[in-house]
Amino acid sequence: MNTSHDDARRSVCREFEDRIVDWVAGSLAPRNAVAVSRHVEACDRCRAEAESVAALLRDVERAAPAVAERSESDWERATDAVRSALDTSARRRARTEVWAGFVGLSAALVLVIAVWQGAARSDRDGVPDMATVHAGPQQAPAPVAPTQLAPAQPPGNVAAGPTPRATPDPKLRLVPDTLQEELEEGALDDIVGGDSDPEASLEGLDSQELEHVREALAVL
Amino acid sequence: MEAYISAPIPSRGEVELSAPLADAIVLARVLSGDNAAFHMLVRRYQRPLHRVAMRYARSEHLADEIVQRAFVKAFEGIGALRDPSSFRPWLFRIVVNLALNELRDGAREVPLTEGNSREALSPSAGQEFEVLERRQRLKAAIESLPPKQRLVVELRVWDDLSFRDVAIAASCSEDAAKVNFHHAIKKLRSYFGAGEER
Repeated sequence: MNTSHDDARRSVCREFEDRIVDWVAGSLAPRNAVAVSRHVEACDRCRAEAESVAALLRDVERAAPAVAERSESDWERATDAVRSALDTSARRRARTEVWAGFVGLSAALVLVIAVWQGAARSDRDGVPDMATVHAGPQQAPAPVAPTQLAPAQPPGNVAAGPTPRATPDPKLRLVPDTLQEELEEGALDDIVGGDSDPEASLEGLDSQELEHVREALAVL
Repeated sequence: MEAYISAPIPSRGEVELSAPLADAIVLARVLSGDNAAFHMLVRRYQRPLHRVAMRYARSEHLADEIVQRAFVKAFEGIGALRDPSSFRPWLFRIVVNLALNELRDGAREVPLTEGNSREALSPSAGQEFEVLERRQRLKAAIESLPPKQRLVVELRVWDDLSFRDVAIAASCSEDAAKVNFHHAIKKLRSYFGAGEER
């Protein structure tokens, strides 16, 4: 009877055995700690185990390396050194902040100037810069047949009736609005001779001028 | 036995550590631009941090240097500290990392002289020698633990940090800190035998 009772008790002890270190160290959750506490109070063997762990922890605590005795003036010197290092760091940080602010301000200023100049140029020219580049010389329009000016039809487009004229996004247009309007209003006819034979108007041009005309047509 | 739970491992009392709330108040001043307030934190933590640094550097000069660098790092990175109540373990973490870097880079560790453990020895000469020898062996055993276990034991027992703070200082979870502590104590018990402690 006693043997079976001892076996049962040992089994219970084994259950708590592993938790005694944590219980002594205070690392158990409250609910578990209460359970271990109750068992330790009732069990001599586990109480001895807990006391042994506690003694070890006290020894560990006493085994802490001693800090060499320093005079207060030594501590003061060390504190002053830390203060000095902190002051240096603070000054460095302040300088960095000033420079960062200056660089940021300069960048913002440059950006504002660039935007302002771009806007001023657009207002003056009335055309986007890219269009000016691609449009070529406006004073040398070419006599072209209306069919050549018509937008190319995609292959296989057999839709009957007039193709509705697409209105391209002004931002995407390479041909300047002014030149487009001139083309639409027949203004170029005055230059190339109106109803006269377009081929005849090219007769007086040399090869370089003809090349300009071809380039302008290619852009159109 | 209830006392084991309710009474935490006592601090050595050589330096009075502040409550996290007091730190939070000072930190708020520092964050609002009052750099001088940081000097209060220096005064508060210089000695405990020096003690930690000494465990690795073991020379007064190098320990001072590590602590100084730790304060500068803390001052420069204080804006990144999300929880002011974690300031103390965060500082410990910086010191531990710097000290470990020093160890790794310079291997400047110098052995401690025998007998300079913290507590004065009062018993008779024979007992004194025995106690001293045992402490030295225990200290050597702690130093031979795996790095994380050693760190957790030192921070918990020698620096009196809670497991939460130990976890922050040792860059691990609280559960991991507890598990490391558990294994460390088990290992120390196996080194010294279950019944040897007094």
